[in-house]
Amino acid sequence: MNRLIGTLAACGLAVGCGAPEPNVVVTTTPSKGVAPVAVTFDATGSNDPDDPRATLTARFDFDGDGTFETGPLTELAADFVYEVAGTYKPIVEITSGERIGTAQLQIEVQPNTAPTGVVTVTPTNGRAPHAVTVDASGVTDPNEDAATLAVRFDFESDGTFDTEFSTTKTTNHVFQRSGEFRVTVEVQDHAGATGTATSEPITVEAGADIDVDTNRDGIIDDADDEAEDVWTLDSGATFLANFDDDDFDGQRDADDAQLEGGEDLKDFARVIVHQNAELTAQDQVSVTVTPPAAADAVRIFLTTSGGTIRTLHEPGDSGARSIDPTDLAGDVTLLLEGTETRSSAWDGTVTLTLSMSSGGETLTDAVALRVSPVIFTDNMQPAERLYVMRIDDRRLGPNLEFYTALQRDIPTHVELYTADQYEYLGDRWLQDNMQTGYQSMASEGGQAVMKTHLQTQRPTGPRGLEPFLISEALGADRGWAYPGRSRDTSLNYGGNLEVAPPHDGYPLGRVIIGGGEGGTLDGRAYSDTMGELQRAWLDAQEIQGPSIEVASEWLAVGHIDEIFLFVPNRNAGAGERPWKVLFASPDLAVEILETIADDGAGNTQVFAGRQTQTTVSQILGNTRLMGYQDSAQAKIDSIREVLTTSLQLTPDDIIEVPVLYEWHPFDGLNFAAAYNPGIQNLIVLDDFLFVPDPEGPVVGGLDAFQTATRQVLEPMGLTVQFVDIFDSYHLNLGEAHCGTEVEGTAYETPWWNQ
Amino acid sequence: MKKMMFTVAFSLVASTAFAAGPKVATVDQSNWRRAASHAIAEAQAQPDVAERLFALRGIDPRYYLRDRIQNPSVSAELRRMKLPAGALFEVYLETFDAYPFASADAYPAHVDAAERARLRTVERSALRQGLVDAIGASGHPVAPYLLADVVNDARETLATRSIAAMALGATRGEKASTVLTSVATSRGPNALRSAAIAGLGEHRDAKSVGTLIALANAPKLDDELRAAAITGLGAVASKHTRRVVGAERADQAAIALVKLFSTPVADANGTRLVEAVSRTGSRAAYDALKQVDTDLARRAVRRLARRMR
Repeated sequence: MNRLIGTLAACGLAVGCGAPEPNVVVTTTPSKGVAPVAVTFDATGSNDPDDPRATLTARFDFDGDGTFETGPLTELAADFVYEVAGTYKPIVEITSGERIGTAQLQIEVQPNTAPTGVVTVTPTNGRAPHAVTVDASGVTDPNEDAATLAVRFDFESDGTFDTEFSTTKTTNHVFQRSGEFRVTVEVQDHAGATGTATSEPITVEAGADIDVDTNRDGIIDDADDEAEDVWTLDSGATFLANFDDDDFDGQRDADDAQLEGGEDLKDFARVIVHQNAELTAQDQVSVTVTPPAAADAVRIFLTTSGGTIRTLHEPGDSGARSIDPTDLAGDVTLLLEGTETRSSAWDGTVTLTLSMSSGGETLTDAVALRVSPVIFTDNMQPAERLYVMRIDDRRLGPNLEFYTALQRDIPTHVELYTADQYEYLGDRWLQDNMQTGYQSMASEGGQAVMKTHLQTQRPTGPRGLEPFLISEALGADRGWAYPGRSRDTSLNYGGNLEVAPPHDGYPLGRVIIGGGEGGTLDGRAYSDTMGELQRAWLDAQEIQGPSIEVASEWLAVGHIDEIFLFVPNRNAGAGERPWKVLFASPDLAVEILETIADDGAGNTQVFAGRQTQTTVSQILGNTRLMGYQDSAQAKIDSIREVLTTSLQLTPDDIIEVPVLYEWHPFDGLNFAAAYNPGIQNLIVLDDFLFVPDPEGPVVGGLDAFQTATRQVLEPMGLTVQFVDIFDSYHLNLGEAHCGTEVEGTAYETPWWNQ
Repeated sequence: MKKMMFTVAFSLVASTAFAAGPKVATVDQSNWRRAASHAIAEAQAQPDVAERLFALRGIDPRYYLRDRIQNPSVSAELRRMKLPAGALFEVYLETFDAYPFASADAYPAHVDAAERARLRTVERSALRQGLVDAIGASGHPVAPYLLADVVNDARETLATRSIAAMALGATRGEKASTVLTSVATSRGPNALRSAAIAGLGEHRDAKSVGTLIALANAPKLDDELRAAAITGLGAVASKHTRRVVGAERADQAAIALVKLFSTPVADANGTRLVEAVSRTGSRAAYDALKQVDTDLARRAVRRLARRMR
């Protein structure tokens, strides 16, 4: 910086000499440097001794050629960049009124000299994958400290730099393939001048090299070599259990030993075994699948660069699977599919170890993959398909009122999938035989999704819904998984499995199931739980677990959808949970009935026109039934307590609808079921709800149970459509949710991004 | 079976089962079968009764095999049909073996012979259980006698006797609590004893409450029976039956539950105790529980507070 007080006095023409000119005080920062130099001119110290409060302006002639590059500036400061070397004599002019003072300064700009590159690589020979240290710390610049110089590297000297400029001068690199390489460094100074240098040659002999999409970007390249041999949430390839049917042969693609080609190829994880031209026919090459549980659960096809395809590993194979060394004249692609999902016996991880034995030396490389969990969608996810059965045959118990309402009012983007009444002999419980879900694996642009539905353990035989998923719903990108059969109980069915929408700690939601050993509502000992095999399978999926179990053994059917369901809250405010838990409430139902009776309308009919028609007073006068409501409410409150703790709910997260329960004797015990159609047992299709018509007391033209239902659901931005399920479902111990299943969209967040 | 007599004004009976029968002042142990016969005769005279009773969907495989658990069950159906009690008496007491269960062709073809045989057995059992449950719900003066008979009938299945015990309690008939207390405190099978205890909870008279309190506190009682006793006390003190039972007895049961919170019983029956006391919605229980300094009691207080609103 230099500071100069004005030396050239000028006399304003209009004022006349004799009046003092302004004092010009200027600093330049810097006053010299290597081109290009950015200089700040600061004349704010200037003043007018004749009028200290006068407004001053400044003009700057940066190169001193007599032409001012700026107009009068009241801020009295300016910046200028000197691009070319030389000596400059800039002039600063300060004006106060009509009086002018000037000063001339000097700026020295020296020419820039390009930096000099230096690079060394150690060690300079080895076998692929060959790890080296690249060192460019010897770069210099006559005008600049080496610490501020930036370098970038082209590891193969192929003209494409593999790193960005950085002031860090050393780095590591792994040469994956055999060959002779040189590393080029380019060094750049602050002015952008560059210098380059190329290393001595590095000789890399061929090695064992196997690669997968470790970094999950859908592409297999050198970036996948990092942390490739151990699967973690941060790295490791993903694959699918190939459970759809791309060739429409009626069986899952994983269940035959065929490579179907076309769409089926997309369901495989690709594994590259890189070429090793040094191998001879006498050498040995193999791939081993571990652990043993994984060896039982995957199939691998081998495709050579020449187009040959053969099976390398079948489920159940053990030990090393040989590859013809001559195949490695080019890259070999392995195609891997899962034939099992995760289970309690296998966490889904697979390690493929490539081994090459040549000349008494054995080289290995390994990669890790993990099969996708089966993930179940919740009621917040956009609906894509609704499964239901249409029944018009009187012998099978028609459901046309219900079906017609669905057909008429279903959102246009949702497919209504109708199961045939005769094929499945009127078995209308679509919810029971399945739980819709999906698998996904990394692909370019995100994740590739395969619908994978849980075939629940519900052995109906061939004339019930048991074959529905296995044969009819099977197709391209839609398959099923079956954990196997252990203990038969209705608690295995889909209605006993719900998914709490995403919340803290569970970005893909959490599985909730029913069961326990709390006994019946009247205190009798009884326990029932989901079959051990199915529950263990659910928990083995990990991502939405461990599952939360709440009491449902007290119910005749034993399903949690007879107690509660999750519904979206489209009008949730900031910081508010975007969903709520909708609970059946005997207390609310009794309260509504009591209010009606207190108003003198106890004779109001309930279930009007049905064979089971009764009145408000008759219900309230049934002491046993009323006591049963207290017991049911106490049990529901226990469930509410468990969910509140597990899901960190607040009272505002819970809403209630009026539902009464009654007992059903079976095998000496009384089990509970909904007395009026279970309102919470509804269908959620985005913002549209098909709600069981409770057929409650009609007062003033309005069904009091319907009104109470609308009052809690409609303020959440939901459309409520009541549907008649009384004879077709309710009297058969089910409701709307029980008779349907919604297939939802996969979560946007991939399961490995936790 | 112990001799007992249910005193029921016959004017009530006359309006239901005995309109055409002889004048009898009361139904008691000595004449209940005769009274049942009158009720049966009355029912037989009503049109459509047999048709409705003989077409129960809950034991017809064409229907129950379509329900979610595919098990025969007719209780709820019978309760809602409100058939004359005499019709139920008739089937249970006289014509059960002649009941027209669904014909063989009612079973779907895929149900094999062994499964059909099993289902036939279950259908019969379901009908018997359903009948005794519906008889209890009928409110007929004969019902308590008939049910007491079933409870003590060693030839009947445990399942039917258990359902009868709970239904008997709900009739709240005089001296029913004697029968139930006898079974509850007997050395019979736990299934029947616990059903009798549950029946006492439905009965709710002073004797029942005393028995339940004693059982809940009995030091060496089987866990299964103690659990039933705790639930039974909750039933006595239930919020929505309080006006029937009377506040004093309801509070007596509720306070008995609260006292259990300070005993070792609470360790093994935590959730059951909380559920039992919370179903009462009792202010007295709430106040008393607030004096108990345990996590379980605080949990119960929160639950009670919600139900007291």
